[in-house]
Amino acid sequence: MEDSKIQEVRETLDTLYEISTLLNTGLDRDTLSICLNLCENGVNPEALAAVIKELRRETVSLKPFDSINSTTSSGTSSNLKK
Amino acid sequence: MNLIPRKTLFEYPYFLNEISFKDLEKVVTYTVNTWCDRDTRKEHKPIMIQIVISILFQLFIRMSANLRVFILNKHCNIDSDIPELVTFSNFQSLFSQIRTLKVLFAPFSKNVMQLLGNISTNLHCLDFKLHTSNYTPEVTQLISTIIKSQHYLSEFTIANVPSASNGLDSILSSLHSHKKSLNSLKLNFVHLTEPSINIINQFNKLHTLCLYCCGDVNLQILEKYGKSLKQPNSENYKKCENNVHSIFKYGKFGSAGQKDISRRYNGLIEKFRLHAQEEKADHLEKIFTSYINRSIHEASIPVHTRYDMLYLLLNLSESPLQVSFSLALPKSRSSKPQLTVEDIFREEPLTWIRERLGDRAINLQNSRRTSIQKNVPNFEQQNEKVDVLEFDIDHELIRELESKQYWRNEFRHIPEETKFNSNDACTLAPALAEYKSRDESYLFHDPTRVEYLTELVAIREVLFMLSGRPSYLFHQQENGKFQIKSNITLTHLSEGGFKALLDFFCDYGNKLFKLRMIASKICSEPCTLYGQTAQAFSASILKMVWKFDKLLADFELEYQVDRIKSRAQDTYISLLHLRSELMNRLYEFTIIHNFVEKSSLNDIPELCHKENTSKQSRNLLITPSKIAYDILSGLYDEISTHQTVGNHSIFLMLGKHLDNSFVPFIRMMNDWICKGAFHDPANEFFIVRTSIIQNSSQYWKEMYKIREVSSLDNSTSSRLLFPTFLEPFIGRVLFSGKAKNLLMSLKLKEEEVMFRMTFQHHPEEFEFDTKSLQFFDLSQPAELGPLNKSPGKDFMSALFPLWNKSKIQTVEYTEPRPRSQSYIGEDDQHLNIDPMINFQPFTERFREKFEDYLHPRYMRIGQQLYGALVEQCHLWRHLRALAGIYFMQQGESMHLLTDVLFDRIDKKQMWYDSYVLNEVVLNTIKNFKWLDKSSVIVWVNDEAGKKPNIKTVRVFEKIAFEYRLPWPLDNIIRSNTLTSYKRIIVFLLQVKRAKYLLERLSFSRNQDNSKAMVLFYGVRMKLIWFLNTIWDYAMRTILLSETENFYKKLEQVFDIDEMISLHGNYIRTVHDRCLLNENATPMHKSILDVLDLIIQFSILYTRYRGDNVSFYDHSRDDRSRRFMDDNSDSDSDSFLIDDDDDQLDKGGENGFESIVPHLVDYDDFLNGLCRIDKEFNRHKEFISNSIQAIAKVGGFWWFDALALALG
Repeated sequence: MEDSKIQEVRETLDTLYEISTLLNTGLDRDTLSICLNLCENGVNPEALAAVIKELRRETVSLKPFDSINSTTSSGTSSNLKK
Repeated sequence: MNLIPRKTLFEYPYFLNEISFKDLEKVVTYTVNTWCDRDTRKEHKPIMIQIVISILFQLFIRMSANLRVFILNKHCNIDSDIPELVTFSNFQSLFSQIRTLKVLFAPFSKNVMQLLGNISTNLHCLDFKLHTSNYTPEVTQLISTIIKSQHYLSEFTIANVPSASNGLDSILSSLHSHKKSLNSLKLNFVHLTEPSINIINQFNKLHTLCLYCCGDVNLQILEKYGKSLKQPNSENYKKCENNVHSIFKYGKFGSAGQKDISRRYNGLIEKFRLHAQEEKADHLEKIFTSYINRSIHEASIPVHTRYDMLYLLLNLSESPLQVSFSLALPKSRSSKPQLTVEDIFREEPLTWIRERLGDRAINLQNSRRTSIQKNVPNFEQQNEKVDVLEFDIDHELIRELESKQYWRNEFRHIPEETKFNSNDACTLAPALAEYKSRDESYLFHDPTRVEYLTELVAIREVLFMLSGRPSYLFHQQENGKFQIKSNITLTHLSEGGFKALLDFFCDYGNKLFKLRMIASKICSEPCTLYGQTAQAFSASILKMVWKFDKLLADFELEYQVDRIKSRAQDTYISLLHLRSELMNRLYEFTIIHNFVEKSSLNDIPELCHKENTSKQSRNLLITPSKIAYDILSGLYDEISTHQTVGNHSIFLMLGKHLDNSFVPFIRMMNDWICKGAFHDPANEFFIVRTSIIQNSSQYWKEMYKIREVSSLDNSTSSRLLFPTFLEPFIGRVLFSGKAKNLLMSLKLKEEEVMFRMTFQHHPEEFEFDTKSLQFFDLSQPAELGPLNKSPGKDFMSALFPLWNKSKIQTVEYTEPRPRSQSYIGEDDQHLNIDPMINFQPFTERFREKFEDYLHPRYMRIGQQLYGALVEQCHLWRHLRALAGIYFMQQGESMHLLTDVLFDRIDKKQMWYDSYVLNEVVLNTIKNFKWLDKSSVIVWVNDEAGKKPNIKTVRVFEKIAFEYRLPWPLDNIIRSNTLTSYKRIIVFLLQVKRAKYLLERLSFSRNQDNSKAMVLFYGVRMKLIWFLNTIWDYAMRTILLSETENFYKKLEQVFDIDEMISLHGNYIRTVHDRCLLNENATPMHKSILDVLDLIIQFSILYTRYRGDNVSFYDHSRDDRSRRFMDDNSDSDSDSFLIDDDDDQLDKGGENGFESIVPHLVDYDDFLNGLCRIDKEFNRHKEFISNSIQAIAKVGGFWWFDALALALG
């Protein structure tokens, strides 16, 4: 990618991130850049929003499981240390 | 184990992993319906389908050793049952392989029940989706049994279990035994009861629990399971992925318009404001606006994507009001380095001030530097935006500068001293002005109005003017002409002296301006308007002008400012010096300007700001061809003149222009010669194409012609328009192209091969291909080799021989040349030549080299054309056929034809009819090997049905023989010459007829020594002698010898034009020598009269001899018959006998009766013979005397010979 293009995208992402923060979308910069890429490739923004929400729901339900897993694995490792 | 069976097609079941009964049904049904023809009865088809399904299913099940998934489902429209499988001997072993069983809406027939009852116990996955009605207690029991019988069940799915039957509880309870292995449970459309949920609660290993439409599920109960359902890299993950896909694929999402999104954002901003979040609102508004209004360029994100992103963010937005906001500090940008005074002076060294103010400027600069530097700390301390210059406005300096700006209206330079001082030249003009103001003759002279400039300024102004830029010293009028402004002078020159100098420059400036304008205008217009040559010439002028501009720019730089430096460089600030420097260059422009003035370019009002209506009317006549002609011919003449005069720099300069201007013509000419066609968008080339059709007989003469223009004084007459210097070559150029065109038209493959070969053998042909045109590009003279090393290689070097000698000559002539003679850059090398060493007149050199270029091509193309004419078009064959048909030159062939014809006439058979005659001729000539039957046509050019007067030889004048020549030979032997051919054959026929009659008279063997018979023999001998003389003369002396001559000459030429000319001469010669010329009409008529006398003679004799003497000598008939086949005989027999000949042509017959009566007695015979003898003698005397006279007067040897033969 040319420098001008990179610079342009970077600036756009900055602005979008600010708007995103103001609107409390919960998107981080990386996600935002992925979304921008997807939108540039013609993905319907509303569908994308629906997917993000769906994934969030999934993630939310995954987190406790992860925490359990992490505690289990840490326990195992601590046991191993012992 | 052989994993790859040999007969793959038949061993297909080995590869089956999954079998679906429904799919099998579908395929078989479709295949049977497709394959069965119409004759198959409808009611038979289902039976056939069932049989096939049954057979195939059994086959598959029996053979499928690798079957893992078994799907029992059913096609709705087919009433077949699952075949009975349990009876298979290897059923158990086969079904022990199955891992997945799916029973989908299959009717539970006996066979199904039997199958399921004996199903494998190694299933891992069970799926029951039946109709609600199918869940009978037996079925539920069977399912429970199947579940229980399994060793390791990991996935279970069930659907549509009715609540009333309470079957689910029993099924789930049977699943309980698999709680350690079950990791997937899917329940669709089932009624979950408390016990069921309790059972589910015990499935600790579940990863997937799918409850779809399970009405009474208490989610809280399942909450704890929900946590354990989500394992990464598990099926949940896939499910999640599937969800994402299905959202994208099947979700129905609209798209919001840009206005709508903007409105929503504005609404949000408004909302922020309403909630007293001004800062947030402002910031959002600001960044929203900046985001939307970002400039659009190649690298930017498209507008619709911008809105898409905004829309996405809107959709994801969750209670934005609750977000705390603190305005982030702008990024600390890297501060620019502090601008120092040194930087300013480095960027702008103020040399312009120094130039004008001299040492004062240096002081000023130093003072300014210090003053700025003083202020710098102040600036740093205060850190405020303060304009530094405000502290340092030096009004004196500004005034000083303004006083130097002579172009300002208020500029007045009043000299301090108006008294003339001989030590100070600058007092001259003021003193003169003062003097004038006192003089009464200069009453209105106001010395205060005079503006004084420095000479440097004047020089710069002159340079500006010469480069076509507006200047103060020269006023530019509306038509672009420069005029010197009055009241401006130099202090050290008188006003008149200064004006005289400026006049010189102004004059050249105007010429230059005009050249610039015309050339630019021509180059900017489409080439069709003024022609390519005009454009090439203009481009050449512009190139020269640009080089001159570069020179002017160099001068401008040289006169630039720094006096100290200029002193070191010895730059003289002097208008006179400038004049001497530019003189040569300006003179060259004058030559070009004068040339343009003389040419037709000057007559185009649009080019020259002329508003004269008479010019506009003339403009209609100025075509691109005329312009091209003027330019090329004019340049050529000018070049010759200047070379003769010895003006070599001008000679070379004009040569370059001719070279550049000639390029379009050369390109077209080369295309024309090499391809037989040319692209002439502006219609300026000296060859024009007319609208003649390609394959017509006019093709050669008319299709391509030299351009003609009607002369001004007389519109009817026209003259050829081509560059005069091409006159010696024009015919050959035209011929070469036409010949090439003709060759292309003939599409001769052999010719193409020859063409390539000749190219290989004659590499110089390449030179004038596209590459060769580069030789005209004089911008690369260094690449051109010396002329003597590559003769004929460089066309331009040919035109201007001195150019390429430069390398050699520079060694001999190394004296440094003055600057004024340099002709910019690459041309310098041409000027060191001693012109006397290699002097050769340009015209001669041009001709020589053009000849070198043209002649080989002309010869080669001509030879190719000749070859094509001879080999492809059979030129010689047709020429011989012509001579054979018209001049009876092919042995006895035509004589036989005449014999047949005359025989027919004498037998009074029908012959005077186009069809009959044609038939007779064709039947006769079809045996002639030298003649193509289809190309000959004969007709009678008389009223249809009219009876011929065979008592005179003039009857043959109505008969026309036509030999049709194929294209392109009809272009060489043209139709007008065929008329002469026709007249000659008629004449020959007439003589031949008389000869025939005389020769065929038969005589009685009885000795008859009467006076009349003695006279008869005498007259007959005379007539025979006369006829033979005429016949020999025509056939041998003229036709045979001339034809041979013609052939010999024709063999030596290849130019079609020459061929046409030769043939024309030939046919005219034979025509005239056969006494068919208009001037010889009396003699011709007299000969015909003699021939008529012979007819009378033969009839007289025949009638005198009466019936006892046969008119015919039948021995001759035999000879003619030998050449006629049976058909012709039968045809001739079938023709009507012309019995009533005498009755029909009564007028002519009556006249003839007075000469030769029907019944001839001895006296009539004697008198008739005496009359014929007398008339013959009279005619013979006349003919021989006349011919002798003509021969003497004209010195015609052939007539002399004839006269001599006639005595």
